[in-house]
Amino acid sequence: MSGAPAVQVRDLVKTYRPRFALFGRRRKPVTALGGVSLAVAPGETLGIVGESGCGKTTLARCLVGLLRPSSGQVLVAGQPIDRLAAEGPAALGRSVQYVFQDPISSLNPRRTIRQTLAVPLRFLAGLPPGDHPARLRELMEGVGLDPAMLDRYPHEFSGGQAQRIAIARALAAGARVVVLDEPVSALDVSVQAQVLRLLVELKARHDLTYVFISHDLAVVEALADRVVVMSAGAVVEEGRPEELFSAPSHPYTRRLVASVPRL
Amino acid sequence: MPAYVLGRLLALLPVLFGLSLIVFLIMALIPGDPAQAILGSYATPENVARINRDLGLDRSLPVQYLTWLGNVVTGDLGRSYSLNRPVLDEVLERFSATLILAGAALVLASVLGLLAGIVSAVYQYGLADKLVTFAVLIGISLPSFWLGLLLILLFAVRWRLLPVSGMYAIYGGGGLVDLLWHLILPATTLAVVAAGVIARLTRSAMLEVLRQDFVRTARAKGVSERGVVFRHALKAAMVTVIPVIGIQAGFVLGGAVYIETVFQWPGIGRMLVDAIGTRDILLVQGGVLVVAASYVLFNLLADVVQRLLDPRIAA
Amino acid sequence: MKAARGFFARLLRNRMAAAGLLVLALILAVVLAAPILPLADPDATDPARRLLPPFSEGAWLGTDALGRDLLARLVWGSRLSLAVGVAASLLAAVLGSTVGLLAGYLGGWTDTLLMRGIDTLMAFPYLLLALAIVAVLGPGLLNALYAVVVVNIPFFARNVRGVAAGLRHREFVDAARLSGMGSARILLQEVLPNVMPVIVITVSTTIGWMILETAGLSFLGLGSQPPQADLGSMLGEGRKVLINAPHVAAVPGLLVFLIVMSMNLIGDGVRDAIDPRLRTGLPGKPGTATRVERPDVPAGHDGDAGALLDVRNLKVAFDTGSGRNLAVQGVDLAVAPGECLGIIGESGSGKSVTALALARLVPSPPGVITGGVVRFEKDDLLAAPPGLLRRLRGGRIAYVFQDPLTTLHPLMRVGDQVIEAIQAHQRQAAGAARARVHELFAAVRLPEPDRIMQAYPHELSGGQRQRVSIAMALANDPDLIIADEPTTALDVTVQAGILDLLAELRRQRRLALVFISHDFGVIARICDRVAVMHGGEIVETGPVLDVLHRPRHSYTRRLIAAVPVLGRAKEILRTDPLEAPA
Repeated sequence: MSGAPAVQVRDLVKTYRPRFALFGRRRKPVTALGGVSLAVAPGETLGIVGESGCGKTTLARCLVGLLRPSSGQVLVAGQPIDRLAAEGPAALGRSVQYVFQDPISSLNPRRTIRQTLAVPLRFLAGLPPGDHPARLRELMEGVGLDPAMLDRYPHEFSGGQAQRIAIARALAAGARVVVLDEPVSALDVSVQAQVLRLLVELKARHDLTYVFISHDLAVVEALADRVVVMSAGAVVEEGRPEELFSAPSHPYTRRLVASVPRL
Repeated sequence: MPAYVLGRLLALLPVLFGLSLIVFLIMALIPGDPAQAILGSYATPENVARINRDLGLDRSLPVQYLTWLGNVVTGDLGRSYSLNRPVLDEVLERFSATLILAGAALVLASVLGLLAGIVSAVYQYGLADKLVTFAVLIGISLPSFWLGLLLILLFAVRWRLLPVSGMYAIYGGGGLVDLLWHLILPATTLAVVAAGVIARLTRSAMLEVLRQDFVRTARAKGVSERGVVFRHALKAAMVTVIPVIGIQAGFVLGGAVYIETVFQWPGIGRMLVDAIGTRDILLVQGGVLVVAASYVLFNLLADVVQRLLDPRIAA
Repeated sequence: MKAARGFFARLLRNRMAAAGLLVLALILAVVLAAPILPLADPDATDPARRLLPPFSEGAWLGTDALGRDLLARLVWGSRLSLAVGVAASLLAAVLGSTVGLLAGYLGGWTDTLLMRGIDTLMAFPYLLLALAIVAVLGPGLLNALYAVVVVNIPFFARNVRGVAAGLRHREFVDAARLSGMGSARILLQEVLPNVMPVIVITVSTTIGWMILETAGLSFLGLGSQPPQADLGSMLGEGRKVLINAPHVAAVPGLLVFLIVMSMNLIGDGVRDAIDPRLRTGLPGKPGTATRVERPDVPAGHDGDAGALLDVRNLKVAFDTGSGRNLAVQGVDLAVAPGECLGIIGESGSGKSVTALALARLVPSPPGVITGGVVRFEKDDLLAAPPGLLRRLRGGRIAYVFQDPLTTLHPLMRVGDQVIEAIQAHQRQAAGAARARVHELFAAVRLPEPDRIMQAYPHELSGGQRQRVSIAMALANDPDLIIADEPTTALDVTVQAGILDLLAELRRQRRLALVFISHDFGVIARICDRVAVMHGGEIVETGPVLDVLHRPRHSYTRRLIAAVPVLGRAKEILRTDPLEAPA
């Protein structure tokens, strides 16, 4: 078990069939992922960069079972994800979690933060209701929020606070692998830096493995130990971020790096 | 565009199938012996035997349905025993009277509703807007069958300005002028509710559109206010208004039942109510089928207009 | 609970809804008390006292053709009509919402099958289906009720399905699934509460109709059968004696009207109270230009001699339900001909409001310019008459906005939109204008200008659309372009192309540019000078490189420190002692 990668992706393919149309132009199936393979070591942060439509979000959703790949395999901690999913939602949710781009819409507008955070405690961790208050307080403090805010509704929070709550939810049941899909893209730069620091801190504290997806090369460089560049559903280049971004070899990466406005 | 129309037609197939099934079930679900129910007091043994043979009523439901569908497709809707004439003849005659009434009402409602809605939106919170809003509230709350009675009392009985009822004058009637004369009260009554709904929707659609970014763009490039309202806002608002006009067509066709009763207009709604009273099931069936099928076609038309207006709708 | 109290408070603040509620409460009180009120027997006939007029001895509202007391019949009839209407709408709501919820949430074949069924019901003109159902079941009040229920199921099913299908793909539903919730629980705990407002709105807007339709069926003789009478059948009886005794029909009709109108008023109130867009108070339709309310017009100030645009002490506020919020609090800016000024700030800093306020494009209401001067050459735009403002907009001052998918008209070909911009300012024949558009599209490097002119915005890529917007801005050779986050919605590689284009156009045409962005890198790439905005004020202005490398204001320093820079991005992870918590 200890030697197995935290996440392993083997030859993952995802194609979307076009909507059935008897008439008009017959559309070709869209290939979102054309055979992607990668592995993430335990405790590592893997950055995935690419532009819109490159397949990075499709990949992320396949990693947590929100999308079923057309072919290929995803293993989390050595376990095939479809087998985990077959054991019911709890088995999967205890192993891998997801943080969405838009923090506000990832929280149900009609439920309080207490209600939202209690869901993984009850269904994933199986915590008896009596133990909830203490654990909820701990979770809020863990992401730097005042536990007194537990009874508020999502619209009462700023984007940065809402993203902290979403991170707390992802960590609530002790999942060790977290997929972060553009977690700071919707935030202002000053808040973005704070959330990134929080992510680094939590990773050290809970011994986490991150798959960190972003279109922003600099943000990925800040967080990732290793980075893969995706384009048109395929990995085009891979390496340590400092080296890859300072000396890109693939033409697409070169163009991408050259496009980033410098200070 | 042809592909779009063809696609829409194909998408209609399941709806038409469901529709035919429901209409067929009107007959099949009647409690008791269907032949007895259809014939009512004309149920002599010979008649029962003939109708059982013609409609396959003594066989299983699927066979009955196919027999019935075969008849319908060849234009045979059976024979009305209370009127002693083919159902199709009666239905077509009555339906044309309804179409005149409903068509006039729908045109009136659309013109009035659109105008009122635009004025109301452009002068939001102004006097005109308040008047329109108030009139719309009254309009959509009025029971049309009651409004019709009131209008008859005032315009026909008290002031003697307009005819009380009917489609043509009994003596020396006929001709377009006479028809229009008789059409004024019922068409107005029928149009009131639909006009209110269309006005209200046009207003809110216009207000919604006027807040959109592309209207700001139009202003930023120096387009005149009239151009902003009519070229930009109205065009975009019509995309939401047209389907509603399509739906209102259904309400107007249905509401015609009341108006035809109140004004004794010889339309299909009146015919249906009478046929339900005399239990003339084949007549009910034929009437419902013809009206519903034409309504489906009308909505197809509304879809096509919608598509012409909005290129974003995929083929 | 707090939400429910807020809802009722909002409902009652709406005077019309409160009036409706009052009327309905009165009617309800009377009909509920019917058994204990001193009323005559509604079904007792008395041929000697037939068709008495209202205010007769012993019969306040008169009697009908059989000598029955109209008042008693009215109260009992209303009771019946209301009961049937309420029952019908509750049944339709439960059945229709269930269908809609299942179809929307489950999707796939369930959705297709259920919604085809609903489409079939909707293929019948509304009342016609009710007639068909009554034809099968036979006349009778209960059958009329069933008919009205079936006919109204589609409204609920469609509305609810639409919302539920939208919720199915929302992030919080995915998040609940990842938190271990099963499908049934998600449907009941996550989806249903968010669909509830739609159900409530649909009930409140259809209940009046349902009462009307049941009354209508009774009026036709297909609903309640004698001696049982609801308001509709009373109307039907009244119709037979319309000419001699109009009151017999007039009174029940008036009551139907009152009930339906009060229901409609309440329905509108409920919708307004629930709709989140209306919650903060519906802003009025934006006018042509932002309202200006300057307490004192600064007099005789000529401003910067050489400046093309000179803004002094600009203040912009937004009216909210609870007062006026100042979004821009006294901004000074100057732009020389051909210069590019960047305005940088985080969300809520007031940078976009400032940009829009220059040509008075802040929507008003709620926006108000409460002070300052915006001088474009000699004219104070805040005092400009509508005609001058219209000529300047798109003429000498042009805008490029953030997301070109929403800022271009979705139903007009992009070529026509640019032609419109030209013809709003120049008398040009269609042919000449087309040629000009062709030229402009070539200038912004759009491939195949002729094909793109014929395209609708949704058929183009984000970068192409933004090039169209830029072409539109260039249409009348402006002196100043105000670009509000023009590349924010684009990918970096596309953004780089647009920035290069803007820089080149600026050099070629001696354009002045005001460039709004949240991204220091973008500003550094294109601008000469930068103004840093924070909390509605400009905290620092200067040449871009000076501000970047020697920021004077502490906010600017914090902002720059938070920007990750490729090559040394990890620096932002070191905690900055200057930084305040979020």
